[in-house]
Amino acid sequence: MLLQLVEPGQTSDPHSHSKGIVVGIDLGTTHSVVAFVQDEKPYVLDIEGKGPLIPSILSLTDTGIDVGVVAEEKLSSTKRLMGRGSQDPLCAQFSQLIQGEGVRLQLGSYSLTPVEVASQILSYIRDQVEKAFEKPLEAAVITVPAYFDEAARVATKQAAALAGIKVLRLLNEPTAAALAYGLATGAEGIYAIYDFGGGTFDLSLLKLEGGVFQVLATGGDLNLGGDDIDHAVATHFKLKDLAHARVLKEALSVNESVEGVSRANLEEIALPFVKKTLEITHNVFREGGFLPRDVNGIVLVGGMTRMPLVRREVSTFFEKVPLCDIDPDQAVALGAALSAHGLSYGSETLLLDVTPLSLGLETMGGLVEKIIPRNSPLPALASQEFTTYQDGQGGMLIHIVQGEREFVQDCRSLARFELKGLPSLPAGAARVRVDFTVDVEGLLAVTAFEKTTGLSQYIEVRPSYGLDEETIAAMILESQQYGKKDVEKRVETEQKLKVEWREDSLFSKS
Amino acid sequence: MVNLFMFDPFEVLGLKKEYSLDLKTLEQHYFKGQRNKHPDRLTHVQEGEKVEALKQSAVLNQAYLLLKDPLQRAEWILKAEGLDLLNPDAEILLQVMNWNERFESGENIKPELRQEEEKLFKDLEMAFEEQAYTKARFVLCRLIYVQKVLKDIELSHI
Repeated sequence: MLLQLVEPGQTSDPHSHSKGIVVGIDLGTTHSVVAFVQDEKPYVLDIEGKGPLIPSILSLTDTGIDVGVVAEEKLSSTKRLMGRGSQDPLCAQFSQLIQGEGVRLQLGSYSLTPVEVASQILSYIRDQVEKAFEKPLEAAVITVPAYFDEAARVATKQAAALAGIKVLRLLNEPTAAALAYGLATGAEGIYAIYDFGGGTFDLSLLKLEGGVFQVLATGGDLNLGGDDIDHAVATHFKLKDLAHARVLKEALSVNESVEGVSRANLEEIALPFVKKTLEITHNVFREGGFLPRDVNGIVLVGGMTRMPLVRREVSTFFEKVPLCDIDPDQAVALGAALSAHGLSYGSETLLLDVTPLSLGLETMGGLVEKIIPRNSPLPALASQEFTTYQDGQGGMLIHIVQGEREFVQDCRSLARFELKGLPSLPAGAARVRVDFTVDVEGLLAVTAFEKTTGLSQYIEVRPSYGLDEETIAAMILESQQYGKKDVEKRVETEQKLKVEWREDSLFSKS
Repeated sequence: MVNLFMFDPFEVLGLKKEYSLDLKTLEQHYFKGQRNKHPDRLTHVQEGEKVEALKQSAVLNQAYLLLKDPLQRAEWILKAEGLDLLNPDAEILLQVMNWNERFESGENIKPELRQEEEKLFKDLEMAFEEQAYTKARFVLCRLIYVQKVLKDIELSHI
């Protein structure tokens, strides 16, 4: 039922009482899918009679750059670079990377950030939706890998803002898939969502009960996806073209032998990657205090789960045959559509998600003190008190990191900021309370409060190379002025290397 | 502003302040609370109210996590009775050393520890039932150490 395609023009208007349409968007590494809800049921949108899969590829065409056509010169899998720095080892997988400041990719005469590529794809999706429904796209739920860190989440929101899409909420991909599966089948109990996509692997453990979708634990790897197997296949068979490796890999899921390569050959190459997903799965269970046999069912999500080897290994691990009665390419988008519909029109369903990575503070000697441990239910709030160590100390440096390691250098630095304008007090007399809030999308905000004087400060944490809201607003304005495909003419926005926060709200009297 | 140092998790979740707590009941109260306070349920309220709702939802999460863990639950009740956690006495420290030695020499002490853990949980429940808080504090201290040794054993298998 869920997999049925509907021609939007041929059915009754799903949202006649509103001016626009709300959708769910699975912005995937290899392809994207958009879905909508009609008569309380989710459907994927068929794109110009070509099926629901939109290649997440930006191509160079005669007229400029375009999504929806796949040309010789193209940018693909750039989702893997969302929120990454130029020093990230993953950048080596991209031959179009321009050396220099920040992460930029070359496409013809264009120089694009991963955020800009994502915004082009989202703009294309918006156009398709508006064409199909003949009304504006009002808002969307966009999905992200559960294991996406703060920087990658912020980057995704920036891409949506650039494409002029209002984001109702970012939603974790496995949670979205669980929602689609749970609402379609009425399943109750503990379910494992095994999400092995083009770029990332996520494993989420959920409890489904009476309309509540409670994420119990999640784990994953952002550098583990079908793309990595493609690279390994290309290296092994000395193939020049990655797309060739992918076609070969996909064909071997259906056929025993293709181009003289047997499925067994491929499985030998893929096995270490699959084993790694099971290692992560094992760890999620161990940390959550569950056993694989506690699980009522395993839901497979992501294109990689079409590989017979993956299905076999997952079955062995859980001693249970995984469920695949929902298309692994569509489950995430369908769940996102249900979420978007629920957020816009109300719903009896409740999603309780968790934070995938721990948040911590730098302490003496470069050590990390965890303030919000991973797998904490969201929203999460933590408070920490600080004091000065010198007489009359006017400021205090606070460094927030994300990750599981003990040392700051091994974690992702989220923000480094100074609490300024502290009252002149003897050492140890100032009392600064810092509240950390992680919202339901997994985004962090920090409030600092000096108790003796009542000074307070609100800080929006942004990744160190992120763009502040004004810059985004300027970019949107420019993109409207110059046309959305005219990325090059746009005034280049200097990438900020510093933490951004609202200077004007610093230390206003509360 | 919600102060996490001061909050009463039982009150937050609308539960009676008792050590003995059925997890099913806890969950029901937690889900009910989140149905009212979770930010996803309040998409149409004013911006200012959203921040407050987010905090209340976060506090519900905090209360749920605290009460779900029987050790934290016990500790909180004892603190409310004015009893801080007990420092370990020589007896329990010697016992821990003894367990560690036996474990390191290859003995399987897990069944014995599990049995001890089970017994202590029963003692703890009984002590709270009789409102014998000083005794509860004594049992809790032992329980913390038994669980620590058990955890160390499990981690060493990885």
